[in-house]
Amino acid sequence: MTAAHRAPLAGALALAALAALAVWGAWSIPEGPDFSTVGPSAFPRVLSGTLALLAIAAVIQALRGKIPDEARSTEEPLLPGANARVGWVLAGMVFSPLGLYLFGFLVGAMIGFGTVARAFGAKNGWAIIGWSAASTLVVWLVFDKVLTLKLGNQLIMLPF
Amino acid sequence: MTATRREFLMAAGALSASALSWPALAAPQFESIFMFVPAAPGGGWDGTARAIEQACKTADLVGSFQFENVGGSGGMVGLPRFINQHKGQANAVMVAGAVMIGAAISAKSPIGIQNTVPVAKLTEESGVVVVPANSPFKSFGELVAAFKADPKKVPVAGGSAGGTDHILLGLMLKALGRNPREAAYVAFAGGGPANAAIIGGQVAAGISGYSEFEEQIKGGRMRALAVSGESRIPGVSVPTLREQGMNVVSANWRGVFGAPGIQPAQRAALERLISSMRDTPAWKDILVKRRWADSFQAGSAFEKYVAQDVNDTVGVMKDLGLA
Amino acid sequence: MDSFAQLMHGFANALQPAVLMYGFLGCLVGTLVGVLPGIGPALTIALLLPLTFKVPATGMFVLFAGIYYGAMYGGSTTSILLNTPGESSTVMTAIEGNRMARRGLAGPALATAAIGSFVAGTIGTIALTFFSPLIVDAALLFGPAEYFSMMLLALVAVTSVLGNSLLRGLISLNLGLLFGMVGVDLQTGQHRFAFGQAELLDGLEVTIVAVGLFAVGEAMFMAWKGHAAEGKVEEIRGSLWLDREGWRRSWKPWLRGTFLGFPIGAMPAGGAELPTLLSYYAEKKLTAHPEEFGNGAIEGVAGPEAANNAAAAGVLMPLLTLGIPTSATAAILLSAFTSYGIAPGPLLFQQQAELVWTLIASLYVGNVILLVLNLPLVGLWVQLLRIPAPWLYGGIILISTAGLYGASSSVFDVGLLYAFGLLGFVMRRFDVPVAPLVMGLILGPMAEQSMRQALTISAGDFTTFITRPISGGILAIALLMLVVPRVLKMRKS
Repeated sequence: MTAAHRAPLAGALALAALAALAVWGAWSIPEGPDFSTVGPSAFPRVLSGTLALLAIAAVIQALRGKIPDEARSTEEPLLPGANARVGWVLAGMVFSPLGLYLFGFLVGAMIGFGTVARAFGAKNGWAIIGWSAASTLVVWLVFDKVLTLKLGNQLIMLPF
Repeated sequence: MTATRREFLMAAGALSASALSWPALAAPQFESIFMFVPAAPGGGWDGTARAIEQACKTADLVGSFQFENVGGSGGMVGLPRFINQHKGQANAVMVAGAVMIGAAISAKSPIGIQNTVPVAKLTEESGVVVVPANSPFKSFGELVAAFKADPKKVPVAGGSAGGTDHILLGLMLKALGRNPREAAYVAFAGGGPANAAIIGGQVAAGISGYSEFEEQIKGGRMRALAVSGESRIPGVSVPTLREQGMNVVSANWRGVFGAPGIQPAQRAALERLISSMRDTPAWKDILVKRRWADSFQAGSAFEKYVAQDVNDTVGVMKDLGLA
Repeated sequence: MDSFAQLMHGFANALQPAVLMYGFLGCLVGTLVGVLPGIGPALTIALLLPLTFKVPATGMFVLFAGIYYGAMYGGSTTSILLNTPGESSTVMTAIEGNRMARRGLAGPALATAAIGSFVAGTIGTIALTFFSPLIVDAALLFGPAEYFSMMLLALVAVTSVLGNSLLRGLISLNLGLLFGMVGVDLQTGQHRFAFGQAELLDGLEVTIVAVGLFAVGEAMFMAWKGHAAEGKVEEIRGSLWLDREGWRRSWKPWLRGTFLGFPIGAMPAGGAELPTLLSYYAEKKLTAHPEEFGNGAIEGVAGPEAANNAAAAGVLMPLLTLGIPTSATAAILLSAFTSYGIAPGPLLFQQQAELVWTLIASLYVGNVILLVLNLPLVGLWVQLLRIPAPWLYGGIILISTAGLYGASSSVFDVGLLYAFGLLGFVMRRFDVPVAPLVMGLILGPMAEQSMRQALTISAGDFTTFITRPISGGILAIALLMLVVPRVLKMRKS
C-alpha cells in the first residue's frame, strides 16, 4: 500500500462509518402503527443496506488504487500550501457559526468572509478586515432593508 | 422599492411618534410588542400574527411590533426558544394553536404549549369530511357504514400523520368502535396535493380544515358530508358530526400565549390588549375577509381549555400509536 | 374568442404606468433573490405579504408575478458563473453551464439561459391562457401510483449524471436518497435519522444541501487547489451573445424543455426539478455532440433552463383554475389571494376576471421585461469573474450564509450548510459527482411517500403500479429508456 492510496482509503472508510451510522439509525426506527405493507423503516433499511455494500466496494477499490485523488491530478496539480488553505476554510466553518451565535451577524459573517479570503491568498490583514466589514454591511443592508429579512435581531449582539 | 421604503420610513417615524405626538386619550396600551411566530412566514400562525399587528396598529393599541419567525416541526423548534430566551418578558407573545399540541406529543418533547402562559384563544376552524363529487357515498351514513365494515378499504386523504386531520379520523373510528390504527390514512404534504387526490378520485374521502376545501366544495368538485365543530359553520349548511349521531367534536384553534414567568398583572395587561384588539373594527374586518371563525376565550377559561385539549390529544395519539 | 378579448383588456391594464412599475420592480427583486443562493421567491413573497394591507390587489399580484418569474431567470446566473445554484431547480444548469463558463463561454451560456427562459415562459403563459382547464384535468389523473412510476423514470434519467464511475455515481445518489429520509415520516409520524435534534425533524432542506455541496464545497475545493489564488482570471472567448451555431443548437432544446416542464409543473406533485432532470437526460441522448456533455454542452443549459421556467408557468394553472397550490410559492400566493378576500378556484375567472386577466397579461409583459433586463446584464454578470478570488469567494460564502440565516435565523442550519460544504469538498477531491446527491434528495422522499400512499390506497396491492394504465405506461417508458440504449450499443459493436 502506497501513500497515494491513503487518502482515497480514508475517504472510503469515512463512507463506511457513515453507512454504519445509517444502518444503526435505520434499524432504530420504530415500525410504527402502520399495518400497511411498507412501513416507515423499509426504505431507510434498504438504502442504508445498499450504502453499506457500496462503501465496502469503495474500500476495495481504494485498496486497489482505483479511486482517483485530485491531490495527485496531473492536469491541474495541487499547489503547495493546500493544507494551510483548507485549514483556513475549516477554521472559518467552525468559528463563523460560533461568532454568529455569540455576537450576531456582523461578527459571524466577517469571520466567514475573512477566513475564506485568507484561504484564497489575501495576505493584507487590513484589506481582509476592510473588505469583509464592507461586504457584510452591504449584504446586511440588502437583506434587512430591501428584502426585510431579519439576520438575527441586531447586527451586533453581546453574549451577556 | 417604494412600498418597502415607505414602510421603513413609517416604522422609523413610529418610534419618535410614539414618544411625542400621540394624544393622551389614545395612548397605546403597549409601547412595543415582541411577536414570536413558531412557523415560517406565510402560514396560518404567521397570518394570524400579522393580522394582530395590523389590527393593533390601526387602533393605536401598540406603538411598534417586532417579529421573530422560527419555523419547523409544528412549532417545536421555535417553542423552546420562546420559553428560554423570553422568560419573564412582559411584552413577548407567541401565536400558536392546536397543531403545536399534537407536534409536542409526537416529538415526545418534555415541553409543550402548557409551559407558556395562555392569554387568549382567537379563532378556530372546524374540520370537514368530504368525498369526491362522483363518490358512491351519497350520505355520511353510507361512509360510516363503509368505515364500520372495513376501514382499510376506505382510504382517506389529509395532512401529515399525527396532525389535526389524522386525529379527527382517529376520533371518528374510535367512536365507531374500530381501532384508530386500522385507518387507511393517506398523508399528503400540504393542502394542494391532498385536494388534487380527492378531486381526482384517487381516495375515497378526505379530511381537513374547512377553508382548505371550501372552494372545491363551492365549485361542486367535492361534497361535504359533515363538519367537526360544536355547531355548524355560519352560512354553510353542512351538518355536524354530532347531529349525525357521532359524538365527536374537534377544531383547529389558534391563540396567543405569553412568556413563562410573567406576573399576574402583566398577564392581565396582555389579556386586556388582546380583548381590546378583538373589539376593533379592523380585526372584525379581517375575520370576515379571511373567513376565520371568532372563538374568543381568555383567562382561566382558556387555560382550562388548553389543558383539556392536551389531555384529549394525548389520548387519541396513544390510540393512533403516536404517543 | 372571449378569452382573447379579455386578455387584450388585461394588457390594457397591465401596461398602465403604475402597474407596469410594480411589474418592473417585481422582476428586479425576483432576479435579485434568484441570484442569491438560499432565498427564493416563496420566502420573498411571504415577507412582502404584510404589504397586502396597503397595496391594491392588482399591483400586488403583478409585483408577485414579477418576483416569481424573475427568480426563475436569476437562478441560473450563479449556477453558470460560479457553480453555485441559486435555486434547487437550477442544479442541472450548473453541470454544463459552469463547464461552459470555464471554457470561456459564459456569455453564450447566460444568453441561451435567458432566451430559453423567455421562450419557455412565453409558451407556458400562452398555454396557461388558453388550455388551463384541459391540462389541469389531465394532471388530475395522476395519483400516487403514477407519481411513483414517474420517480422510477426519473431515477433512470439520473443515470445521465452519474459521471465517470458507476460506483461513485451510485454512492452519491444513494447518499442523497438516504438524506431524503431524515425527519418525521409523513405517513406515520415516526422519527427517522433525527438523532434527537428538533431541527432535523422537518428533514434536510434541499436549499441547504445544494448550496452547501455546490457553493461552499466549490469554494473549499478551489481554495485547496490554489490556482484561483494565483489570480488567474478565466479568459472570456467569443462573443457574449449567441452566435448562429448557438441558436441552431439551442432552439430545439428550448422547445423540448418547455414541453417537459409545463405539464409536469401543472401536476400537483410535479415540481420544477424533475423536468430539468428529464430535459438534461433527453438532450444528452439526442445531442449530435455527445462528447461535449460533461464538458460544457450548450444543449445541457438550454433544455433545463427552459424546463424550469415552463414548470413555473405550469404551477400557476392548478392555482388559478382550482385554487390548488402545488409548490411553496404557489401556497404563499394562495394566502396572498385570501388576505384580499379573494378565493382562487373554479369561480375565480368569473368573479375576478379583471384581476386574473391583468395578472396573466403581466406575465407576458414580465417575460419581456426580464429578457430586456437580463440580456444586457449578461455582460455585467460575466464581469463578476474578474473580481479577485479572495473577495469573490469570500462574497459567495457570505451570501450563502446570509441567505440561509435570513431564511431560518438558525445557527444550526448554518452549521449544516458548512457540514455539507465539507462533504462537497471531499466528494470533489475523489471525483464523486454531487448532482446525483441533490437529485436523490429531491426524488427519494417523493418516491417513497407516493409508493406508500399508493399502497395504502390499494390496500397493500403492489400490482396497482402496473394495472393502472398511466402508471403502467410510464413504467414501460422507463424500462425502454433503460434497455434501448444498451441494445443499440450492443448492435453497434
